[in-house]
Amino acid sequence: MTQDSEAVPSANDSGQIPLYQLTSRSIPAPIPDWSPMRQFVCKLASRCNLDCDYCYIYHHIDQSWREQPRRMSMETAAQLGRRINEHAVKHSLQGVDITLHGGEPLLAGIGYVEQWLKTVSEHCCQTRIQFQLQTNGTLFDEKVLDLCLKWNVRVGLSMDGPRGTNDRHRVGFNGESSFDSTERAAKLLSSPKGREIWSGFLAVIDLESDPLEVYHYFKSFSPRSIEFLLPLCNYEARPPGKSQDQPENTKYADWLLRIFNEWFYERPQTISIRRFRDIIALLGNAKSASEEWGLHPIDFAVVESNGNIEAVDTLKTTYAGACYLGLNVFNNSFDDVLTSPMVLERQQRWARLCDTCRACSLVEVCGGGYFPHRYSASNGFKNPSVYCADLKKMIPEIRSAVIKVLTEARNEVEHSLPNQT
Amino acid sequence: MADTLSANSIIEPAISLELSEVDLSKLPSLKGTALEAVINEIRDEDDVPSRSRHHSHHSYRTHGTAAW
Repeated sequence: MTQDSEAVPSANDSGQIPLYQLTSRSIPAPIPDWSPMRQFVCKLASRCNLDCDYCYIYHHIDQSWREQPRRMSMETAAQLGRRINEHAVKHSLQGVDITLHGGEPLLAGIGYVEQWLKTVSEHCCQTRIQFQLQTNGTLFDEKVLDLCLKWNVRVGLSMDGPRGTNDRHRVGFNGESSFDSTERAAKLLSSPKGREIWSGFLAVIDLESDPLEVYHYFKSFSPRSIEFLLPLCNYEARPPGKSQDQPENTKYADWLLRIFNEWFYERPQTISIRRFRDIIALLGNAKSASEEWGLHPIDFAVVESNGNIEAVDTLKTTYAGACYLGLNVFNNSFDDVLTSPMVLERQQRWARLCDTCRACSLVEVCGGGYFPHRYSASNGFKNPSVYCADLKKMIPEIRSAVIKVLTEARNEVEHSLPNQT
Repeated sequence: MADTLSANSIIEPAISLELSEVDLSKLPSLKGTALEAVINEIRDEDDVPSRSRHHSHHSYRTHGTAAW
């Protein structure tokens, strides 16, 4: 694929220190236009014990959760295991990620969860499984921790920050705070015992919060990673703080960059902030990143409580039925997903972008923006992200910071070399 | 896909940085930085983080052993 060299800004002048290179391309680097599924997001429970006002499952236009069984049957779990096994064997996958998701998956009960793990494992025995659990933490206690340790289930905790920030959106059905119970889970997971299986925090950005206060709060638990998610919005349901008459405001970039500008220069840095990690990695031509970034095909499917195989469930924020593929683990293999138009749309990411994105120099990093963020009733997903202005600000600033640090590191070495003239 | 791509004309320079070419052993001041960790991850692309944004799980192999 075309990759033309451009003037390299004195990266290798010394002939001793390969540093960095700027390249220009007339078209993106070669990217496969399909991928087998490597991750399976499984809806053990279709209900939740919290009533977060931004929730993409319960508080947006798609209300299909109402038709789902409260929890997945063991018969469905067994068939799910068989289908994952079939897919892994066919595509010679070294391993798969299986995420216990909901709703709140722990609502199904600890006994049920263990039976589910056992059932899926028994029927998916020809590949390595890494189980994951994404939880709001309210039901996470010592017994659940022991179960996760026993089954090596990695745990992600959904929480938005300190009390005021968290409770602005993440509340119970009577508006009651979820903070104390979630913070208890954070303490348990950050204990020496919990750390073995704790992945980190998953937080939705709230512009009303102070980004550094949120970051410092999370940092106090020394998590392995933090992901700050952009709210699931689009051109029909605009992001908070970004009304139709202010498309160019960059409030989300400004919020995130305040954290970046502290995080990036901290040493030693032991926390991975996935959003920043992905931008830097894609600037460096990485092949992998979260589904929100880059042009690589998606490699995961969602399985509902009734066994339906669906497109990514965050599409529930766009239009009713957006996730529905007409597939079910009892009738279909995961290969069938690969022929579904909605999934093809996300596998062939470059081919399906709008012209504006295809002509933009940032596209290899932003990938045109997260798929649900691109939706409008008039153009479907052929739009730049509703967060385009934020991406256009954030990516170059992070790139400049990377170049600055690399240049300083190189200069430091050069100044320390003995004068050879 | 190749046909689709070649029909396009992106004229702006791309923004890539060849980070995988950075010789970290010769740049000691990067030790312990976020940048060092990302560069190491890029070099070990088999260590694929989960793609979906549904979970904060980071990777198979580095879990519990590497700095990240």
